[in-house]
Amino acid sequence: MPSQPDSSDSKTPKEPAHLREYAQWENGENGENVLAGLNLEKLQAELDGKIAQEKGLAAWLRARPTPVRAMLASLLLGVIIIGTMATWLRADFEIYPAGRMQAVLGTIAVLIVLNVILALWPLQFPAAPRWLMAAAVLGAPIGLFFWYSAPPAHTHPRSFPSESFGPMLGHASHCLIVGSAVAGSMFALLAGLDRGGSNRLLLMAACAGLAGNLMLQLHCSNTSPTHLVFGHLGVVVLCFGFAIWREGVRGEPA
Amino acid sequence: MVEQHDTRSDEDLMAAYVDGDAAAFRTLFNRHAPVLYRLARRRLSSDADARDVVQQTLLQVHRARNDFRHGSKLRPWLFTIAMNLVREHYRKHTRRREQSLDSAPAAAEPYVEPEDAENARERSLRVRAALASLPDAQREVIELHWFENSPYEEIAMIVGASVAAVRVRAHRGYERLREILPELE
Repeated sequence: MPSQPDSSDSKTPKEPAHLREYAQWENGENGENVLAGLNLEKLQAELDGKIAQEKGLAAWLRARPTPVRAMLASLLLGVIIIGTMATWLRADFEIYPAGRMQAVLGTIAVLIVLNVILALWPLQFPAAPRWLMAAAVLGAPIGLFFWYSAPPAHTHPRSFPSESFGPMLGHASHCLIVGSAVAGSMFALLAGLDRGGSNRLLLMAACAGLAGNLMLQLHCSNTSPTHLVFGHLGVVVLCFGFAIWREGVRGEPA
Repeated sequence: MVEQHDTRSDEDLMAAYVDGDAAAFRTLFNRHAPVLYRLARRRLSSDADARDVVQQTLLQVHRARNDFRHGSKLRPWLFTIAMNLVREHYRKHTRRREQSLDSAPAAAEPYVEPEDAENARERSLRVRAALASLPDAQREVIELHWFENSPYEEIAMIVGASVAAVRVRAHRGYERLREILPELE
């Protein structure tokens, strides 16, 4: 049995006497051995089998050092931003209020960074506070809804069409599909970088949904709140729905 | 067996493993699996769950091997991973907590000295229940400090708190145990 801490040290609280007896009991010195249920050879063999399965791209990705994993996620975000701005920039970029654009993009950026950090948080670090993880996940839909439900950034006829619900839904569906495709790429990368541990699916879903919204904010010139809520925020909702479905399939909390 | 004569430190073994020495990982496994199992078994109610935590802990060490830096200590790594996995396992399975002694029927009944053959086991089960009734933060510190002989500085690294906070948690935890189990002093 390992030697117990020296309680004569004035800085060490005096432990109850019966803890020593409990420790002896755990180690089999009073009959029951709590290690009796451990078969080292079998456990080693099972572990060797799991390690042998660590092959392929996903295994390579998750074995990268954490700074490299974070860099890879950042790289994909960079590709999304630059690619959209270079080839698919929104038509109303010149007239869209700069302050509003910075505020919306800044909100998305802060939330993405927070969610990526938490999604890739290594298990060898003390766990991040659960309230912070909840804030990061809930911040995605709440932060986006705050901006999308606000009065339109501008009401140029091309950006703020007076359309009925049906046509609106059709246009929103286009954004929903395109945004979800971008979100899917982010989710796939994060899933490959993930080393395991619960509570990651919702964080990854938030990241993915935000990445989709980042692209849409840079590309889509529709400023109608209804369109933004259904077509853009809907991407986040779909991502969360996917994460919850995956939780059901894997049998563990998202 | 080679690992019985392997006197390399945990950190040297981990560095060797990162460089491709599979035998080094086996030595680490043999050294630490029993300790990790005992740590997990104390918190979880089944041998299978505790074995699962040990396996997942070492699998995580394998996956995170390129995060291990020269000069780092391996033991805090192992304990941090194991305790994170135990907490996740606990939440995931929403198992009924071990009955607190505050509500246990035995606490309301006069304590009767069991037969000698059962004496140590009975007392130890009461100690285990008392440990389970502590707040997680205090319980973790006491388990690492008392059972795993970890210094406060190491415990602070594992649980992500200051050394002063860890000492306070230990003090409060030990005091609470003495309150719950006065008859065993």
